[in-house]
This record gives sequence, structure tokens and C-alpha cells, in this order.
Amino acid sequence: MKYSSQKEKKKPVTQKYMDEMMRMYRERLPSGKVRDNPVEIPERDEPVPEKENAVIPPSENSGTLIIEVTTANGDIPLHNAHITVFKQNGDEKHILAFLTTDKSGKTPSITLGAPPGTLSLNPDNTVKPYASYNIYTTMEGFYPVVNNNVPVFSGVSSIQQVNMIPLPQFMTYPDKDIVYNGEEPDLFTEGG
Amino acid sequence: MQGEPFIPEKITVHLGYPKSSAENVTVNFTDYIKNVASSEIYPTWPENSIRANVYVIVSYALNRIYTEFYRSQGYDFDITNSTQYDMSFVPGRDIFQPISEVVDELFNSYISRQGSLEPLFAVFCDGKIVSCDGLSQWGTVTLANQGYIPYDILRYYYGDDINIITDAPIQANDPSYPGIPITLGMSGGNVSLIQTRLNRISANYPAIPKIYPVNGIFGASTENAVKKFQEIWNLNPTGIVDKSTWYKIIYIYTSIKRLAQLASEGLSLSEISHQFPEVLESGSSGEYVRVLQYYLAVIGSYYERVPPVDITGEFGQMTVDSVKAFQSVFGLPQTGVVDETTWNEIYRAYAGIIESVPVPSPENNIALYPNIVLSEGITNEYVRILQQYLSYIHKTYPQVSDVNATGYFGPMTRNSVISFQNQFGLNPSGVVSAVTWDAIASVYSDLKFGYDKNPEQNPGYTIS
Repeated sequence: MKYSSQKEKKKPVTQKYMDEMMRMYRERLPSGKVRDNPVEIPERDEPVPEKENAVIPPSENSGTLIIEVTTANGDIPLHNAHITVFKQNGDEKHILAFLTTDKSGKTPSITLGAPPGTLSLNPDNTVKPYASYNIYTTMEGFYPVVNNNVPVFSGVSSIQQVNMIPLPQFMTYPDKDIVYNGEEPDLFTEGG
Repeated sequence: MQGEPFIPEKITVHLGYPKSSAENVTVNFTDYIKNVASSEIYPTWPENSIRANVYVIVSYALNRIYTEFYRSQGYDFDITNSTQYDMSFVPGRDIFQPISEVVDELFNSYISRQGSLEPLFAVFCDGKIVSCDGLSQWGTVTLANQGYIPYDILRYYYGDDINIITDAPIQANDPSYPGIPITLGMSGGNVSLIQTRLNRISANYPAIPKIYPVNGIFGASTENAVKKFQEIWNLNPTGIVDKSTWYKIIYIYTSIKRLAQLASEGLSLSEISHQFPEVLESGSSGEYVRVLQYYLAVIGSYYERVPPVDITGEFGQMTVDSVKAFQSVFGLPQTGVVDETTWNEIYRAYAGIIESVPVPSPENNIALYPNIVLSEGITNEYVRILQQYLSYIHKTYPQVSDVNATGYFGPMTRNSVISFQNQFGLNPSGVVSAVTWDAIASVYSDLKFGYDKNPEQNPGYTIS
């Protein structure tokens, strides 16, 4: 089962594509639940950047995130991997971006909200000094990967490497997701 | 570890208390340090604070490896990720650009006591909840804001009798960073090395434009390739090969070549049946053990929870560890014994890998070692191939003497072989056994097929 990179060309995020992502997404929520009601997609003021090298400089109260998808522990980049970046608030999931990787396995850099950077410079701070996001990556012929609790700090670029593992022979659809759970930094304890 | 500490390519981390039955992951040393630093401190901290913390984290990790702290107790890992015993490491986490840049620069520097080469066991704590007789993480922020440089921050916590050892040797066949940045207009052997390495890397990462000609002169096409490489690996895209860029090129090249080498070895296995042969376990030996080890080596290249294994034909401790790790990942009883169920799961995982994405291997276009030693006095087709390769290599490496492709291994051929062996760090015997053949073929393929480009790859002109 070879992946076909040549089939899909870069195109604007169409409703059909988003519907397809939503369908795949609903079937494989990390929590194991299946949602009946559609996930809220917030209005965006600006389109999701699709151009290669669309670098948005970090600014106050936001950081950036770039995702790098490879196989063979980094030796081979994966072109046209599909990525969903979302934020979990309780039971609700807000989708922030749909991305695909270029031939180096990288997505464009996206800007995400984060708390003020000064929080992480103060040892007595009791407010969470970073924002947490979730990333879901799929590629035909590979186990999907879930990254939970991906921290983003204000004014800082985060780089999420996603190493994908090919499915064993004769497995047409993956029987599981590979899940990585981020942990709270040792430096921070909620409430002090 | 005996002798001078060196920087290992990989480190094996136990994901729990030492005695727990948790899994191990084997990761690149620099990636490990980036992960630890991103887990232990905040990326918004001042740069000198980040640098001081990275020196500490590297020293701590190297100490565990150099003293074989866990391995000497019989454990099969170098360090744990339990913060009660070692440092925080969160598998699969994101890393932060400011931390990544510092680690790429400092990964081969460490702290030691004056008069000793041993990496310091650099104890540390957060400095707010816990105080300790070592570095305070929050304390480094205060000191950095007061203008302390990293060395003075470290002396503040560890005493005046410390040194920072910079540029420790790394575990690789390529030479160390020459000490000065390599830039546009320079020329020499280091430039040839960068050019051939980048051309080979671009076979896997086609966004890197091919460098032509490979002549040891750092021109515009070399600079463009360096910049693109730096962009992909999150280094400052200056087009200048500084220390961070030099080592990143070497590490990526080494890893890519190893995978391609492994893929090409698989060609000779295609005739061997993949049916379960017999139960294989510690003490077994022979062809089936070789095949098993080959499958595990490929699997280990794709699954970070399956450690590397040497293909020896002897089922020893490395193989036991690898089998157990595989069984753990696939939910099988961790016996370390390869029964029919385990064999079949191993084969399915391996077959799934080789069906997935082809390993970009320009090396598939070169001749395999003919399994006979070639030396003076022999006449045959393989000598002729050898001479062709050496002659081609001579065009980029004039120190490798030229030779006519007559098929007869005479004194000129012997001299050419010796000059190659000297140039590439091999024993200058003048005789071509497997190691020398593979090295000659590898350099030839890097040069010749380094020019082969994909349709959408720059440059746009034909390369002959």
C-alpha cells in the first residue's frame, strides 16, 4: 500500500474537504467518544495560511506552531499528511486549522493565542502561563497520531515533530491511534 | 565508558522508575536534550538562563552515560524520565525554537571539575518549591537578568573549580567542525564534504536544491542548498555553515545513509522464505537469526520503542532486548523468545514498512561487493568497475589518484586504493575487501547520483 502524493494537489480549503475531515475526526476522537452534534468551527478573520513559507511572526499574546511529519524516525519526510489543530474546552472541540505538509514534511507556521509571556517569568505566578492545543495527523497507510496538550507560549515558536509508523501488512485501516499526552511542566502547579 | 567522553548519537530513556516495567525509547541525543529542556524550563526565559540550564542538562545526561550508572546495574537503558531520579522527558512533546537553537549549538559542550574529563553530575532543582545543593532553575532567571553570563551562573552554583568543555567529539565517521564558519567564497575539503552530504540528503528531502558542480568551491548553488537545509531543520538560514549547521548536516546524512544501507541489504534477503523457521531464542545462531535481526533492525528504524540491533547471526542480549521491546509494543507476552506468533507479527510489521514509502536510495544503482578480495595481480570485471569508481572520485578528490579502467589490478591501482583509504580514514592496505569496496561505492554514489534530481527540483538546467 503505497501512499500517493501526486494525486492531491494543493487547493483552497473547501467545504467538502472540511466535511471529510469532520467525518474522519468524528470516527476517531481520542477520548473514544463519537459525537452526534457537529463540532463548532469558529469564525476566522483571516484565511488559514496555505502558502509555503507563510511565516507569521509571534506577537503579544500569541505564539506560533509548525508541524513536521516524517517516517523512519525523521529520515523520510511525509508529503501531504493531513493535520487538524484544535482546542479542547471540556467536551467541546474547536477546530483552528486544517493543514497539509509540503514535500519537506512541514506545514506553514500558524499563529495561536497564548497568555501573556510575563506569566512565565514570575516564579510566584499561579495562572497557567501557556495555552494547550491538540493535533491530529493522518496519512494513508500509517497509524494516525494524536498529540494532546501541546503547549504554546506567547512570543515563542513551537515545533511539533510527528513521526508516523506504517501499518503492518494486510491492515487496510488503522486499528488504533498513537497518542502522546503532553504533561504540565514541573515548574508550574495550578493554583501555586 | 573509558577515555575521553564523547557525544553519543542516541540515548535510551526508560519511561518510569528504574525498577518499573515501563518501556524504553531510543532517541537522538540532541532531540533528547531539546525535549528535556522544553519540559524542565520555560522558553520565554532570558537566553543566558537557557544556556546555563542546557549545559547542566547535557552534563547530567553525559554523566549517566559516561559512568554507565544504570547499565552497570544491569538495566537496559541509559537514563530514566522520572523526576525523582533523573530529568523530565515527555515522549512526543513539542519543542521550542529558542531552546532548539541553543541545544543545536551546545549539545557537545559540558561542565567538568578542573583536572577531570568526567561530565559533572550537575544536580538541579526548580529553586522555588525545592532547594538543593546545585543549580536553581528560577535562580538562573534572576542571575541572567542581573547580567551574569552562563559560565558565571554555573560557577555561582557549582563552585569556581569548574570548566566548560566545548566541542567534545561526536560519535560519527565524519570529521569534527573545523572551528570556523564556512562561507561563500571558501574552498577545500570541508566544502567538498558539505556539498556531497547535502546532495545525498536532498535525495530524501528534494526541496534542497542540488549543488553543481561538486568541486570544493563554495559558490551560489552551495549557499542556496545550505539555506534551504537550515530552513528545514529550524536553524538560522544564513547560508553560512556554522557549528550547529555542520553537525546537523553530519547527523542527518549519517542517519539517512544508515537507513539506505539497511534497505539495500534487504535485496539479498528477498530469496529467503519469510515463513516461521523454528523457535529462536537466546543462544540460537545461524541464518534465521540473521534474518530475524534484519527485520528487527528495519522495525527499529521506524519504531522508537524498538531499540537498534546488530545483525550478527548470534541471538544475544541485544536481540533479546529488541524482541522484548517489540513484544511489548505489539501486546505480546514479553518473553524474548521468538515463537511462531512473534515471528509472524515481526514479519507483518516489517512487510508493512517496506510497502509504505520507498526509502530514497541512489545507492541501489551501484555494484555490490563481489565477495572476493581484490588485490594486486588480479584481472576481472570487478577490478574494472573499481577503477571506474576511483577515477570518478578523483575528479572531486584530487588526492585520490586517477587510474585507467583496464580491469588489471596493477601498481597504479594499488596506489589509487591506498590514496582513497588515506583520504577516507581507512587502513591503507592497498587491498579491497568489503569495507573498502563499500566505502568506495558509497562515495562514488554520493558524487554520481547526487546529481540526479527529481523533476520539480532546482536547478532547472540539465546536469550531465
